[in-house]
Amino acid sequence: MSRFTGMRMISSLRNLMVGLNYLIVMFYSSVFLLATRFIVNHQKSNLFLSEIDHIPKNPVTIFFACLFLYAVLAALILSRSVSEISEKAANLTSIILEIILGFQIVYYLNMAYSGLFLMVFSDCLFHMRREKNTTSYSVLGILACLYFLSNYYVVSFFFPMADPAAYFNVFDHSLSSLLIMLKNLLEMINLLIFVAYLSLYINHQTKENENIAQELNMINQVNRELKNYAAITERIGENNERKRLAREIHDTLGHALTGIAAGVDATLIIIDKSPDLAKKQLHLVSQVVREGISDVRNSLNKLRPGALEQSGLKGALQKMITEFIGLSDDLQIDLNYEVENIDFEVAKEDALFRVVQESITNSIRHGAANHIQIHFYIADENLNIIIDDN
Amino acid sequence: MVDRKRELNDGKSHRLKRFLDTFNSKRMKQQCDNIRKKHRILFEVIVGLVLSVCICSLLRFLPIPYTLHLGILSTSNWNVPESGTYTIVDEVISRFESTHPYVKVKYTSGIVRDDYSQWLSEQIVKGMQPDLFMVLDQDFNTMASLGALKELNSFIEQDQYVQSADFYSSAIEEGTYNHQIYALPYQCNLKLMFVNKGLLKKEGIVVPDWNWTTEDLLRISSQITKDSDFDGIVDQWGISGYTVDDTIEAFGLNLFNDEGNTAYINQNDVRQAVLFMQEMAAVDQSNFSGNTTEGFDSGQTAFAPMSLAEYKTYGPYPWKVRRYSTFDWTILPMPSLNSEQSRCSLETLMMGISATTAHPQDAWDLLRLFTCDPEIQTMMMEQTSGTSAMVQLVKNTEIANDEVSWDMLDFALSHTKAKKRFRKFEDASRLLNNGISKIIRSSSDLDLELLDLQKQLNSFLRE
Repeated sequence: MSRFTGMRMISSLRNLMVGLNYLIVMFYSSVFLLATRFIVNHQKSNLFLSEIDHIPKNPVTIFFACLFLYAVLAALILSRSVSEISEKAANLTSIILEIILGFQIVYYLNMAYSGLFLMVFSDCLFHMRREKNTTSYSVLGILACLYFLSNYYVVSFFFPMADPAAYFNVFDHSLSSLLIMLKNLLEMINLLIFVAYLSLYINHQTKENENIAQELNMINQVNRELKNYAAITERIGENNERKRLAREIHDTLGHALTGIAAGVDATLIIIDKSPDLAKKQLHLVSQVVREGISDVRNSLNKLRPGALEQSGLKGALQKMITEFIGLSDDLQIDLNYEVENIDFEVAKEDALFRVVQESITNSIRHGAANHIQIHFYIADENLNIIIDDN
Repeated sequence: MVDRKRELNDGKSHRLKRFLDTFNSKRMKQQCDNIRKKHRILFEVIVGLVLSVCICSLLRFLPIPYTLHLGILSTSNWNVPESGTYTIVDEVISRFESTHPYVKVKYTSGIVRDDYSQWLSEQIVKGMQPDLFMVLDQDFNTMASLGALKELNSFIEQDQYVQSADFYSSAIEEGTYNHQIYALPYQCNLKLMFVNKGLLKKEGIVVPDWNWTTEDLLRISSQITKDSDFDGIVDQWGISGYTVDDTIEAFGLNLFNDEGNTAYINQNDVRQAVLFMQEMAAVDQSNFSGNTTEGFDSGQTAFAPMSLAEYKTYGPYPWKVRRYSTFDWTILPMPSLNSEQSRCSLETLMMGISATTAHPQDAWDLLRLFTCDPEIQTMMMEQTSGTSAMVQLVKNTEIANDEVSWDMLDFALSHTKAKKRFRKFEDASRLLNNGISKIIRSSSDLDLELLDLQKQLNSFLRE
């Protein structure tokens, strides 16, 4: 909740800055316009020209150009909501546009007022907060440079222009000092709002960072719990498997071995008395042993993947692929199986199946792939498997 | 127990899967939106750029008429009555518009010389300076240093018909600032010495040749100045209206440095000049009390400096009849300290192109027509008080002139000097003139007075 009020506060401060800067820009251009009229009416143009270093711009042009450019700049700034961060290229485009517009306005005002860059700075600051550090630092650095270098005394050294202060000095002493005071007051308010904005922004940013850290913590905890849970599940699975094995051994091998032991004991007893009966008994034991072998084999088969048992390697692979595809929307797995007429030994089939399964898992989990190609073929009496992902 | 756990596990994985699915689809949707947005902005920017480039290039080729503004004086620059200004301007405009069908030339009429400087600076303050305007020589430095004028060297280099050597070097120098030409001379004017040939003949003195010196001037003036009818009152004078400036120019004195912040008054050359001026004051008609006659017109004065413009205005009939019909006279260049050096300063009315003009090439074509076209310049010489600053035109002119020989004018023009001007030049000159006039009349120590004047000027220049 506090996050949103902070955001609203920042947003309204920014809007306030836009309004104040409009006032300042119009103040300057109006002073230029009025001073020019004053100079012409009081026939002070020769005196005025002797006080400036370069011909002045047309004040009417300045006035309307500033009005227009500022309208565009304000529209650009206000159209971008504070809370929403647009896509990177759009963001950069509008920031560059803002800087260019700001510079044009400041240039029209003969570098009299560079506080406009503070407004652009604060706007950019907010919109650049998710950008890479290098990008945001360079943009903010450029703006800071512009703010400090957009000064009549610096720029006029390279590009001669009319001294904006001369416009303030043409009026009577009392009026000109009043105007200068007003100008300083407006600029100071702008600076104050900027500082307030900056502190609010930093406050908001630390809060947001805290929130993120908290959320990260939570996620970490959940992750840990999940890991524990997975370990437990694995252990339970292992246990189950062990129990099944024990049951299986108990049910099959145990029975058979007990039978065999009993049969052999009986044979030992009767072998001297009746060799024929013993032979018969041994036949029975032999049968039990065979049954036992078949039982053991069945048990072992049960431990293999079911699919492999039912439909061979190809069918098992296809089934696994369908399962994988079912997990995600944009996953595509192509299987090119060119070894239809070759039968593998059970153990080899098993190994091949596990290899492919592990590869797909890895490429999805670690490679974030969404297209995987699997190719089975024989070349030079070797089996080749190519698993390729994007 | 185990089964329940398995169920739980299954449920969890299902939920996870569903979450992953929705997350993926949301992210993809957002990505698509972003790509679309990015493309839209890029598209808009590109379309905007292409459109603006197209419009700009089309505007250049489309025959959209536009206006060139011209800033001109309505009167003569040399304080003489004149009526021919607009005739020439209109002729230039009609010629220009016939070769540039899509350009209209407009000018504000009725700006007299005394108001011109004020008018021009007002236009500059308003940022509405004309594309092409006349520049008074006293304003030139301010205009050039303010960057109000376009540098013309590149135009002159590109133009195969115009060279700076076509003009008298001092005229070009007048329009030069920081080694760059910013204005070309439209017309010029200089001081000449009028000589009462009859008076000299009466006293048995030969009229000096063009190379005469200040020494000659002083010698002849002293011989002439006397009481011819022996009634105890001097009635014959050597000279009338020879000024401090005339002497400074004749002596070729550089009294200020280039930056205009230091004056060099307390030097030997200046002392010599002041001594010469004191001697000249003794033969100047205006210094004789009770004299009621009107200078050179009286026919009793041997020499009188007069500007060429004044001569041209008063020279023709009926002026001439009224003024100088009673005696025989001729014209000489101004005298100088020695025959090699410049004799007087050149006054020019220049024209320059505004640095902010949107059509510099058209403005240059118009400027060229004003300043470099022989026909226009000849017309200007015939109809106004000014003289062309083009060497060939002065040398080979066919304008009939009974008294002034064009060869002499050529000689005088090529021995002129451009004034070194700076921001406070006019005021400093006035101060200097007053100071020196006072020194001439005073009898106290010359060195001390010069030192005092130098201090006074320096403090004025540096304030």
